[in-house]
Amino acid sequence: MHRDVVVDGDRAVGLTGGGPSGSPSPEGRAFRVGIGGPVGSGKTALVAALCAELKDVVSLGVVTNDIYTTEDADTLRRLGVLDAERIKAVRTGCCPHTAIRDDIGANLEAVEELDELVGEDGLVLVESGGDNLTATFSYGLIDKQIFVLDVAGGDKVARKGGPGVTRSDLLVVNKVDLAPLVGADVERMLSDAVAVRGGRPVLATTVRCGDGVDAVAGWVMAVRQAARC
Amino acid sequence: MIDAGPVGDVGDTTSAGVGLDDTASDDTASDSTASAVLIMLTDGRFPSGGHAYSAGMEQAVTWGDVVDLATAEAFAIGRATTSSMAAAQVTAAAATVVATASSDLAKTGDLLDSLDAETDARMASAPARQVSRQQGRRWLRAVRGVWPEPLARLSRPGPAGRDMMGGRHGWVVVGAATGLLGVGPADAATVALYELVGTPMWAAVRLLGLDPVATAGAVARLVAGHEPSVRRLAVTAAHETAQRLSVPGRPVDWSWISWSTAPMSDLAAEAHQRREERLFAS
Repeated sequence: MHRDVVVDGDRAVGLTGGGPSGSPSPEGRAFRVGIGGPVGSGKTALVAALCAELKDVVSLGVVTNDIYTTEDADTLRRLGVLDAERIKAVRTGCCPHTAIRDDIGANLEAVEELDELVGEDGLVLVESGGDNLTATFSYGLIDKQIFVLDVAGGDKVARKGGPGVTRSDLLVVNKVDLAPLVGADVERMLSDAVAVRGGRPVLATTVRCGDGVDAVAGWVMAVRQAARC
Repeated sequence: MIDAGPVGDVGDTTSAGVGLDDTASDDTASDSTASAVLIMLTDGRFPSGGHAYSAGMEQAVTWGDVVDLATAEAFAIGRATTSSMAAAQVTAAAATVVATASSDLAKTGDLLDSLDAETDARMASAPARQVSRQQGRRWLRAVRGVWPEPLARLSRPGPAGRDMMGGRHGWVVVGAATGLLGVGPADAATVALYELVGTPMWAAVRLLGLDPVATAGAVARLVAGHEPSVRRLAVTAAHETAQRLSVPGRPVDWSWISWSTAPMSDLAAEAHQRREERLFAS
């Protein structure tokens, strides 16, 4: 079961363009989607699930920024969702947020290397290292970003906000199947999220069981398509 | 012919530094521009990728050689007294090459090639050479993005269709960029010194939880203690380079660049590269 709480790409946040002014045009290169969120919220699982869902639809590449960088890359390789050369690991020197937001050169290098393999019609997913609610991607690096929360992290997290929750292009609330076990109120969490996001979409998922992954994949392909029009 | 500045006079090297033209060095506005460039290049927030490097500190901590501020400072002193000499000279030489020969792109490219090869020859560890070129790429991306016009002088494809600054070692890129931006060789060498000691010290703050203010104090001591000799080396290097370039047809010889290195740094780079669970790129 998954719930499309708000999937309204035509709102002010829009499907076209790449975030705030000054963001790069995706013309002539693969579309780039950043995936951020706290430790253990399910970023790597979502990346793996998106790769499995989209690998026959679009040419894919993945950049991982885990603190122990090869761990996520190895997980993805082991799952066999992508060829090893399409997965790049970036070392962030204990500063995962710096590497995706303030000083993005290493990640740009990695996505540009992947561009050659993936091709200009492809899709590159950039997974951040697990960080806090303020860690968002620079639009100098990616075109759109997904922020992943999980219900086990506490249902107050959405209400507390922070740039990841309020400003991301898509908010995914993961592990909704665990809500009864951890005493989380999913409906409250989703409505809090909708309230602080000014119309930006929110999706509920249980990635481990595959619930909601198709909706996230659909959003990714829709924003990619819109950026090309 | 460019005046490489008063050799040995380390007190006035900014204004007498290697500029793009002779008049720029006497221009107050130009000097202040160079100061701003200098401040930006050494700002930890400047997006040249510095946060991802520990310059061997992560490995030294793993080995148990660095355990506190005193041992971290001792590690940095090792770099300040060995690698900093070649770094200062390469940076100053690259700045001089760019400022002196920039009208002749083919010659500039050949000279930077040879300086790059000399840098290779001074780094025994292959992973260390690889990291140095990676840092060069990251510096280049940043300076080209921030100062596109001056940097474009060496960005356009050369006669052989190559990028004059692409794929170079970090110090060659920093030297060439500072040369194009009107920063004098002594100031450029101070940038190199600050990076050399600052990179491992700031990494130690993250790896060992050192007091950041006490660490900054140590960095200040290190830079102040080694700056005079490093600046003197850079001014001499700039002068030496300019003199050799002034004789047409004479092959440029870089053998005078310091060969002093720290073997433990090379060993650390090798060991670090083989580790699976590392946080830093060096």
